[in-house]
Amino acid sequence: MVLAVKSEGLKIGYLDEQDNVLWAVKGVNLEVSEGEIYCIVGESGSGKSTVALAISGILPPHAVTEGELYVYGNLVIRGESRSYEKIRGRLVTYIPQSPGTGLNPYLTLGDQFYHVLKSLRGSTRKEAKAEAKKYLEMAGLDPASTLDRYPHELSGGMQQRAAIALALSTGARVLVADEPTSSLDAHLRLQIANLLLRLREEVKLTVIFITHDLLLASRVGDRVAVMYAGSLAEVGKLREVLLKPLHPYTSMLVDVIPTLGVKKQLKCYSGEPPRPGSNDEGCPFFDRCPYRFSKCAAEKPRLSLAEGDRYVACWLYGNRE
Amino acid sequence: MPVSLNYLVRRVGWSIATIAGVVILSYLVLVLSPGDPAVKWAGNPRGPGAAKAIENARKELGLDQPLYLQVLNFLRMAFTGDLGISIAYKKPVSEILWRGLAATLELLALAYAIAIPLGAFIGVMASLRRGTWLDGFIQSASLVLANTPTFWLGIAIFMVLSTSGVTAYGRVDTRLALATGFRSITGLYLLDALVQLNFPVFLDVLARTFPPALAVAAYPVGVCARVTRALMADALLEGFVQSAVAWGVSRRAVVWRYAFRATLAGLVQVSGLAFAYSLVDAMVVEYVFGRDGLGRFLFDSVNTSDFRLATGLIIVVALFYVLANTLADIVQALVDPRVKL
Amino acid sequence: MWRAGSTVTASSKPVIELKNVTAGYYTAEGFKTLKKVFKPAITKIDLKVNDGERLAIIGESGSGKTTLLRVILGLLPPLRGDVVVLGEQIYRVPARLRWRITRQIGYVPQDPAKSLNPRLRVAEVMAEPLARTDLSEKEKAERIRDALRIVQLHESILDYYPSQLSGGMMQRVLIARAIVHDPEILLLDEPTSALDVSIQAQIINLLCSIHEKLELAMVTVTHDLPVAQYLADQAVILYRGTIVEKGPMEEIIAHPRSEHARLLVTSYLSGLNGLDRINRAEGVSAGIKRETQR
Repeated sequence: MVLAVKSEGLKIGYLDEQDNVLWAVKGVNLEVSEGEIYCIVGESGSGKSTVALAISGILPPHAVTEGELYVYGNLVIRGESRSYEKIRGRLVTYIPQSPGTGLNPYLTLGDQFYHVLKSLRGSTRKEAKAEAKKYLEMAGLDPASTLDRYPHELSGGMQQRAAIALALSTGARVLVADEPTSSLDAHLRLQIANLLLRLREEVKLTVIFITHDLLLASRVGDRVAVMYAGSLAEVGKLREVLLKPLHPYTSMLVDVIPTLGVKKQLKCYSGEPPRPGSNDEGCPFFDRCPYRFSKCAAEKPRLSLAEGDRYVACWLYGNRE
Repeated sequence: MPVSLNYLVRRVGWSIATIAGVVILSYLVLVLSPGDPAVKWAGNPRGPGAAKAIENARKELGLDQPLYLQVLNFLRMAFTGDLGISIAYKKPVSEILWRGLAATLELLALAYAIAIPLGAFIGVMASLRRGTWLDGFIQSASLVLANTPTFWLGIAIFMVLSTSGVTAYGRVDTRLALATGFRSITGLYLLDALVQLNFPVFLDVLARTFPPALAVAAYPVGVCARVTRALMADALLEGFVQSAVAWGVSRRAVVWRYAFRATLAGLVQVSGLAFAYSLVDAMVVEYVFGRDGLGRFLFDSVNTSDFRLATGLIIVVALFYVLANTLADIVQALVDPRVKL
Repeated sequence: MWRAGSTVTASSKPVIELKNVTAGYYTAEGFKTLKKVFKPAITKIDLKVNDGERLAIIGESGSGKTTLLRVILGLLPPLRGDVVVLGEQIYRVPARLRWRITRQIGYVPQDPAKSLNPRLRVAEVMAEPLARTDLSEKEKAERIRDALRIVQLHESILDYYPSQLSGGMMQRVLIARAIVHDPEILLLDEPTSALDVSIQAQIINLLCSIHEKLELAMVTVTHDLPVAQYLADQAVILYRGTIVEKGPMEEIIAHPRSEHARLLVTSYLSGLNGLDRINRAEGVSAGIKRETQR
């Protein structure tokens, strides 16, 4: 199996005003195979969006990196140096949070396609228009009525489809979707998720789907990585992880989701995720974990194979190498 | 069309109301201020005939009528473009003002044609190199430029030029103008020379307008650079700019077509305000460079107690502010497809 | 706390009643600028909230739920119709006296981070609703302490500024502020949409316990059907300014009748039915225990 994205010990932090580094991602090993939909699930502050920015090449200049990141074998991040020229739009493409934050409000959709295609392939306006039509249709939009429109003239759902069409027009095979549906209405959310599923078949995309919505992830994903406080807590096949979570944090996530038509008392876990830059010793979930024991406070568990192809970072599972 | 008829009608209505307010106020200030204008009109007469002369002057100026009639009368005059006869120049005030306004506008236009692109470019460069020495240098230089007193800068430039033998006095070399048969049509000499294909005069006018324009441009260059840098810093973090980077759009297109485009609306608004502010600067610099602009006439009208000219000037300045703001709004609507006026 | 098909025992005296309410906004349109055109955001709304009842007003963006909220809070006079809060027609009362009635509605605004004044300490925020009461300072302090106890916050939080609090704590402060003056109605605007799921669960459980303890009517305005399921027994579904469905929550989820309600329900059904089954049986964490004991 070809690995589309691979990271080893990836650490990403941001410099604050006093030049201290606040680590948002604290050593993450990812392996995303070609053609799969890989969900990264986590709450705010888990570092999932930072991972998305790192893969798609738009980390802010004041970000600090350590470790390595490969995209199709190309070394993108190596320690402090980052080189994205060969990656952006060519191997990796990106959809931002909805609706329409990714679209330039000052240009018509046609012009935006033109700028993307001109930069990547030197297309003329005429060629860009033909390409744009193809991708708009693929995303379920009518090119005739959208190509000459400004983004604000489209509805929220249409804007997100247009952003997806633009992202696909780059021809890149790895699509990083950073919470692409979080501000859409429920039925639109589902439509966009279904669109991604269809596109995966049509264009053989690899999708890295960042979300806080476990239920939505369960609809689209093949594999899932659950992130907590900058580290991976659990990685495995989505179905298995959700049905039989091994890490206490994953099981908490499953427990606290209100499910429609299911009568259960919501489990109440006290506490909140640690703030960035907080104490790094021991397991980050220690404060909230119902199964903690002394070792958890002293030593941070590493992600390791628990069973099958399930990886868990928790001392409950022996943490075999 | 982003500017609707509805907006234009409303805007023109408001502009007329504003100007009427200014006209009324300037008239009241004139009449109610200490010192009787009739005495000045009659030429400060003394002796036995003085009372009669002042009485006649009062009648002539219409100051014997009730105040509201005076105001209405003055309003009527102002809106028909008849502002009376200047005391100092013995010419219709409107004619003098038009000549002055044309000269000042020419200076301002040249100053801003330099200032906005230059300031914006410097600001963009600074924002792209945030935290480097270049950014620091541009930041402090633009702060200095924006806060240098323009009259001082004008004098400095004038002195440097005259000691190095370059003449930058007045608007045009009169002898050259006569020799080439240059005639002023609109009062904007650059435009006139161009229309008449009179290139020697065009170059001469340009050479004489350039130094004072530099002095006037200092403030807007500084302001535009600072504003552009701040707006660009925000724009570069916008979702659509980030997405464009991730989609592999070339750096040049990202900077100018995406990020800079987003700063335009704010830049236009600030430039509009600065433009109106620079009017005063231009008037001062004009005086330094001996140009027959509004500044020159303002100075003269004060020196000679020419209150007719002074009120006319106030009205022109008010009109100028209103127009500059309206223009800025309209340009903003043209720049941002989401704005509908 | 979740109770199956709970029917609250309080008398069914209506605390909020909307009769045939149409409300919206005026926009200047066309060449004649003086002519304002009325754009209704909600039309012909009939709504009744009984004492002690838990009602959810469910709608997606553009459904008119914010307008409805403003009408109930006494902030937007409707074009037509009657708005009765605690037996009084609030829009017949002069605007400057309206607060005497509407303060009986404890209101929790959307997005806690934006709703708290960053320059006020928690103590000052909490004292605001008590400002126009004739309570002594001691009684006020007592009330604030009680409210904080109910939302499970420590008293030391009173000295903090909002920026020092986490999202969940801010939301608790806002809830405490809404109940500190002992209102008869608790009105929640998207109470959990800005929160993480684990914090959302805490707040949901907290709100349920508050409803039980204080015996007030609780109205939740939300787009999130699963959350509404926990916070309400009765529901109305708003769509484009009209009520398309009303009735018991469970009934709507099990058998949605209108097309929009059906769409809403299906879009929240999970793709993983097995996930639901396990949850229903025992909760997942029990599974972990078995796993580790093995």
